[in-house]
Amino acid sequence: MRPRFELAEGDRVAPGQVVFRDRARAEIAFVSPVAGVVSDIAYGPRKTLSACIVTTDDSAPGDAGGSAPGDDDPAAIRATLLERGFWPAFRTRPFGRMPAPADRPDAIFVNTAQTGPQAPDPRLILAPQTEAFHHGVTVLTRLTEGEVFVCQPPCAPLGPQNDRIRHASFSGSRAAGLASTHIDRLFPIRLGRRVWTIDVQDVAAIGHLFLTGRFHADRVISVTGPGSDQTRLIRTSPGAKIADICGPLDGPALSGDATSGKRAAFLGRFDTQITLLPPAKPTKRTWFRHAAKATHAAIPTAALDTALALDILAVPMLRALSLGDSEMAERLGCLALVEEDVATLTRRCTSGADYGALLRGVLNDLERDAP
Amino acid sequence: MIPPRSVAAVTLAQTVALVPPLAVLATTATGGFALPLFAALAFALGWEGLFALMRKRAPEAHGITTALIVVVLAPADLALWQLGFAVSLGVILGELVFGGRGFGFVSPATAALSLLVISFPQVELAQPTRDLALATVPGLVLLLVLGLISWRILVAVLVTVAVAFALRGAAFDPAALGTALAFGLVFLICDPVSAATTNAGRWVYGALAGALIIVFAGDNPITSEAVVFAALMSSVFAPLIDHLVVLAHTYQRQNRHV
Amino acid sequence: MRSSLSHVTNPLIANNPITLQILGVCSALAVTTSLSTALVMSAALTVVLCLSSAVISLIRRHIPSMIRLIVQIIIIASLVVVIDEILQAYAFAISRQLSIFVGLIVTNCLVLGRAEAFAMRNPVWPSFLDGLGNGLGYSLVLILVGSVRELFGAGTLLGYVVLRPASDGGWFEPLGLMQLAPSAFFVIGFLIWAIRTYWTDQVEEVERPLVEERAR
Repeated sequence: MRPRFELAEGDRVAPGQVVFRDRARAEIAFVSPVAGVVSDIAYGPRKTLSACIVTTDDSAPGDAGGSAPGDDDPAAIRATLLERGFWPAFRTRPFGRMPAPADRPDAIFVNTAQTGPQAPDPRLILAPQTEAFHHGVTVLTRLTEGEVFVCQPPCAPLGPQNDRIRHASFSGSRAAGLASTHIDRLFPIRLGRRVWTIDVQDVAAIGHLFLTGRFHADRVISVTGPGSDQTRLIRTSPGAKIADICGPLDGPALSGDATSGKRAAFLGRFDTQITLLPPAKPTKRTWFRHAAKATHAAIPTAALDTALALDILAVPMLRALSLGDSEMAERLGCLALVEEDVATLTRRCTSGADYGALLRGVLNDLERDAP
Repeated sequence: MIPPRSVAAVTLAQTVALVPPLAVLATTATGGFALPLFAALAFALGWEGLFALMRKRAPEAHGITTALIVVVLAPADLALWQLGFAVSLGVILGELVFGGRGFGFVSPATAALSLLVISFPQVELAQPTRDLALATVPGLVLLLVLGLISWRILVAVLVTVAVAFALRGAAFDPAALGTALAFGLVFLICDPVSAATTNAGRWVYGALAGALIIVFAGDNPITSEAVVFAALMSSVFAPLIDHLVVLAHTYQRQNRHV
Repeated sequence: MRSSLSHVTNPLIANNPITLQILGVCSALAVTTSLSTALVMSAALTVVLCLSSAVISLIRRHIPSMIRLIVQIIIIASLVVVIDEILQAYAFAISRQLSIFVGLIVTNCLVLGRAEAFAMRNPVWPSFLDGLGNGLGYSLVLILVGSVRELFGAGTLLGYVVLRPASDGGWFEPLGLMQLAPSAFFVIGFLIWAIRTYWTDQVEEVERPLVEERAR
């Protein structure tokens, strides 16, 4: 994404204030989650955004607030979500991208069924903001002609009762918490459908916005992993610096769970978990080790067969991904997947390849060729 | 148990599984046992090292399982150069030309043994003994637990062979059948690299291997040769089987409405 | 002079009909069980290739494009019949061993391929040299494969014992594999491999390279 900044380095910013917009689709605004000062803007190749850092500053102005935006007119809702920085909270399936401003999904999936070990319990998070969450789900129904699916742990329905809102409960292994599993069971995109996914806390924040007119970006995340003494729930902002959240780190930190998390300095946009790892042992990089990084084969073991949760043939899929054979990967069902779904495959495969990156390459090919 | 996460770990597990059969061979071998073992290892690892040098890769030792399997099934009176020839062709043609362990589609041990039999028509492979079959069991359990062989293939082969025996009305002796099949079944037919890689495909693959064993054995008792050639032929067909399974699966997916 | 020489030398290795163009593999598999048959076949094919290229090139301006394949095949077939008759008259035993493969030179992709690709649009002398070069390139591979297969399959070369077999008091066990057609595939495969390892420009571009760095 190439940004067009509305603020310059050194400017003060209030929470919810627009910092930059997508240059190609100016409707999509990106807002600051906190009050502070824009301290650093870094560009990557071809003027893509690499980093934009806002240093928090308590003396900065708070959210100016305002009247609650109207929630009747679908076009107005869409404009509000775009302008108030909630558009990046949505991700499309297939392809796992931010939707286009005029995009109309066939369904929206709200994922509250985090089954990953030590993921924050959505019931606990939602308890104080039930009203906001209900309102958020109702707002989502205005964005689609289809239904809004609330996927939740087995308990009383978390969302409001409405004929456009369906509840489904999932429990079990890590795969049961993946949006791909929910979509495949309830509304498979292999039939040419397009759906959006959104995290439960973003829905609550949307509800909060439409109820009060105030921006509320805090999210509760859990800090866990072998490098932390105990699992803690922490309230923070999306994109916060992990070192600021967790204090001084002994070892590397993953943004995300232990399986699909990526080493990062900042909390990922869609991550609700930080996994701390024990300090890495220093390893000597000799030529031998370097050579050993060469490509290895993928030995088809029984562990691979079950690595993909959906009804997808794992070994043919990993072969298609390794070859970059997008046609075969599409026929095998890769459009139903995003990076987090193949994280288990990466962990279990003997080849050492990062199937998330390979999947993204194949998805890019397919997206480019899509009509 | 943790499934192996590197090719080297897979090779290590297979090597461990091969230790008991090798111990049986060491105690029962009439001729020299150490010399053929050493020669086979030297040829297999030598070629692997040479290719690693040529391709500027780190040296690996996957050839060790090839050498061990070939030594177990090679006849005791085989000339060393013949053993070396078979191991060399098997390792090069079955594995190294494709880029190393796991990149090919036949097991190098199967390739070595079948090329040995084709090249020297008078050579007869060693026939498994009851002790060898029993010594295969710990390895079988280990590989099953680690997920390195598929129970579906085992069951499919055994059922096919048993049904064929029953249909033929031949005297059916489970002990003799187990003795003849055990080693080749575990280490040649079930080799994860050469077997089918989809669960449906594994059933078909196992049934094909079982049928081929019966065809190659004819009216005689099952021999090592029959098992080796059945392993070779079925592994040649394994990619086709997988391809058909993928076709059927994608067709099914497209025609399923939820 | 140099350019006309290149018509002869180029097809030997750099543009070898068997190892690079993968033409004429059928007969290369069938007639290479012994060196003598490989030699005779090589000679027969080289003669047919030279003469047919020269003749077709001579009349190339008079061949209507519509029926050019028929004309080419008639010329080639006539030459093959002549060669076959000569072999039957003067080398009957070998002609038995070669059985239909001399007759099948008519359908050898190599002969028709050179006629169509080169002789139809080049003067006589270069066409003759091109035929000669391709014939020699073909012969080179056939002779190599035939030597390997006879040496290791029977322990002899041109019928002379080189490796004394164990059945005759020596140490050598003939490789039965070498007498079977697959071994010719193996030998040609190894040959192509060796050539492409040394002359790396012959290596074909991989359609889908394995992902080495992209996914690490």
